[in-house]
Amino acid sequence: MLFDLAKDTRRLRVGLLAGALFLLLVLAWVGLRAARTEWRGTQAAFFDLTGDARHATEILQNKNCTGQMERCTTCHLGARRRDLMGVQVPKVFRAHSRSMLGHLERGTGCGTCHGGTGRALDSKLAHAMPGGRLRDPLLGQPYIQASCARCHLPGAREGMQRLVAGAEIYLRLGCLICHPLNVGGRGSWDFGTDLRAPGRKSLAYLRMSLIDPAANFPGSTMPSFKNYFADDPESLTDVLVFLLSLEIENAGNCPGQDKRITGVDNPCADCHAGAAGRASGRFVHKCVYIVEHKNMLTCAACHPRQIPEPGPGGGHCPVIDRQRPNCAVCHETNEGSRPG
Amino acid sequence: MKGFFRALGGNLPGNLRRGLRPGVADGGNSAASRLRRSFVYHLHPLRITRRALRVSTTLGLGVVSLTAFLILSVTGVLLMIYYQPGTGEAYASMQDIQYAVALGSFVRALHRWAAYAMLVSVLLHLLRVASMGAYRGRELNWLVGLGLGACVLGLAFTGYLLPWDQRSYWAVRVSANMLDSVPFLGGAIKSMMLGGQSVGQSALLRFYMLHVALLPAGMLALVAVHLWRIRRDGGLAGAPKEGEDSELLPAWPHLVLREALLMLWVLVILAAVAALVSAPLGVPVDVHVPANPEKAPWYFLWAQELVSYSAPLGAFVIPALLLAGLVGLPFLDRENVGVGRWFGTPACRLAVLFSALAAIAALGLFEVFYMRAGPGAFFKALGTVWPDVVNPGTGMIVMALLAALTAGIATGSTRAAFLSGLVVMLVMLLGFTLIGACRGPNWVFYWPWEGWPSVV
Repeated sequence: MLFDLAKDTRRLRVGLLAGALFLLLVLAWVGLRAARTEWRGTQAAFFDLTGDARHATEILQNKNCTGQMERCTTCHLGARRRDLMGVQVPKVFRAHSRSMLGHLERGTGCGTCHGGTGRALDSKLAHAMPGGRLRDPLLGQPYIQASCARCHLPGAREGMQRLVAGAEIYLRLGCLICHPLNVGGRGSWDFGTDLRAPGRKSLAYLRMSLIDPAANFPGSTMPSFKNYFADDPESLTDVLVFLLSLEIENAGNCPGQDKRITGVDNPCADCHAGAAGRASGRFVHKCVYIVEHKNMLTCAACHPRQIPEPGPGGGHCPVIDRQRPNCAVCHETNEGSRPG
Repeated sequence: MKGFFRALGGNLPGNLRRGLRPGVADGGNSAASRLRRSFVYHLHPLRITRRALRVSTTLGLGVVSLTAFLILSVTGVLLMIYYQPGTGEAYASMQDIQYAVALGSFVRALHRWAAYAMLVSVLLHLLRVASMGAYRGRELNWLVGLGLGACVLGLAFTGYLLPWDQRSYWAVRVSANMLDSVPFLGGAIKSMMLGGQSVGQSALLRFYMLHVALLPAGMLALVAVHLWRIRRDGGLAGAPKEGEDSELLPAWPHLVLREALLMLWVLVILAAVAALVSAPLGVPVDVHVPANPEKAPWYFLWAQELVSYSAPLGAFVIPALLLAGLVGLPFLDRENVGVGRWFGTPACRLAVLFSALAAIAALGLFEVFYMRAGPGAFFKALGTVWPDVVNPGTGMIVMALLAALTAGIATGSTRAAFLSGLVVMLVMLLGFTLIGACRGPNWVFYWPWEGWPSVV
């Protein structure tokens, strides 16, 4: 068969033309999509609603006090508008509640308290934690109280009731025995997961850990607190607020932070200090296990080191022997199986 | 004006025009003189065989790879405008590219999918050349091609770290730790690559340097040599079949436009995919908490799966064997029969087919006994040294050797032996990649339709 040169050339040219057309189509589609982003529509809607003089649509961004770039106000144009308070507007344009507006005006920004991905302009992505994890949505009430602990001591300010209640339950239930929260800034405890370790857990995971730990981690030796919370579901929320506060980092150089007595990273001081600003051991021995066992136990069973004198400058907190999980003194534990 | 150009270097506009557009006649002379003067078309001979135009001859895989490289160069330069190679800034700059920069997510997606296209097309190109014995008499270009393949893997690997998200950080950490199993030099290579013992700022900067400067420059140089050698070696390997139309056709437009067509459509398809599917950006790096499971990039998954059987085997023995086999191939195979034909002679074709089927069957058997029954119980009785010696990875080596021996004896051809061994290795490595992809938390195997238990 002879090769038809002219026909082949024609077919190649048609193929090239078709390819060029398709490429144009794809690029046109990409360009159009880029020009019709969600935030442009939102801004247009805001100017229609308020009757403000329209200016060119633009991305609005600012750094919050933790140094993170945020673009939230690109869409949430009404957040700082006092004249919109009490006015019926779509949720996205609502003014921030009056009580916290001062924070906003001092440069706290949005993500410092609410979390989310401030750099994103797509509402779905912006309202999720980085990486688009939607199971950790923006923090609202009551969980947003966890963010207060980034700057404030529990109970030091108004509006932190649930955080304080959660901390008290944490101590009362004896969580501190296995999860000592890096007391005194020491390394992580060997027995239970270090709850202050970086690596955010989802709310659902934390809830499940309290109710059915083995569901999250097969072979977990942690007891279930299902019965305790069955009577009082509100207290479960309180503990979750407290646990969430442990995972959120301290907020760098934000202004107006409460002074901590033994250093920024010492959660003991946060609770023992309370509003009074003095260390005291009053919470620790509310722990149900210790109360139950108090006739059998001496202090040294759990605290083999010398307990320091109470009061300012009293040295380290009493430390539980890390080499020997205290429960193992009496109870056989499954050595080698370490939750987390 | 014309005088100015003449003073500058002869007839500059005319030179430019002729250099880029071969269709412009130069004083009414022949196509030959046009082509000889042109820059773009010096890559091709003036006349080519009909076989060179047929899709089934090469599948155009080299052109696809080259197109992907060009797309990657352009999109890569665009990404460099915003990307910042610092541990504190890298992730934030990726977020900016992804979320705020106009068309940023499209360019990033195009870069990512073009990279994957290049990985696949380069592998297929290598297989095409090997299966046709097209390295015969072209030993140098085969080695240059292997160097290009190494550059492609290096580029993919270094690029994987740059987003500095959880996935990329841990994938590189996993891969870097595999080097610990390489005897003698592993530790030195690792510390040279990372600029220390862990993946940190100096590692990120080195990976960035490799990704945007050293490897692309090396690649560019090798591509030039690769293309030049094809011409020097006389075009595509293999003589026309007997009785085949040996009529010679002009390269312009039949070959050149075909290549342009392929390049254009590769671009169209990749652009369409990039417009539809954006490249993933995971959660920010957390150097304390790895995800579970933590996986190497997909093109190194086979190595990770093998490492999970035995660290020295997966990280060193099998990659070294593969490399040695590929480097040695053109020097050991001295046969001229069947060059330029898919899998050479009919006997060779049969040997390869049987080897592939045997490899699939063996893969199934290994995995049923080893994975599902649980290797732990099996090896407890044998002692701790045995898992390094008896596992699916060593099974693969034995299988490949057996296939090579059988095929070699049955056909009397070195090439058939080599190809059979290679096919066994490739089929099983593909299998290990798929198995690795199915690994869930704690490296436990789950079928794709089984859910993973929650571990986060």
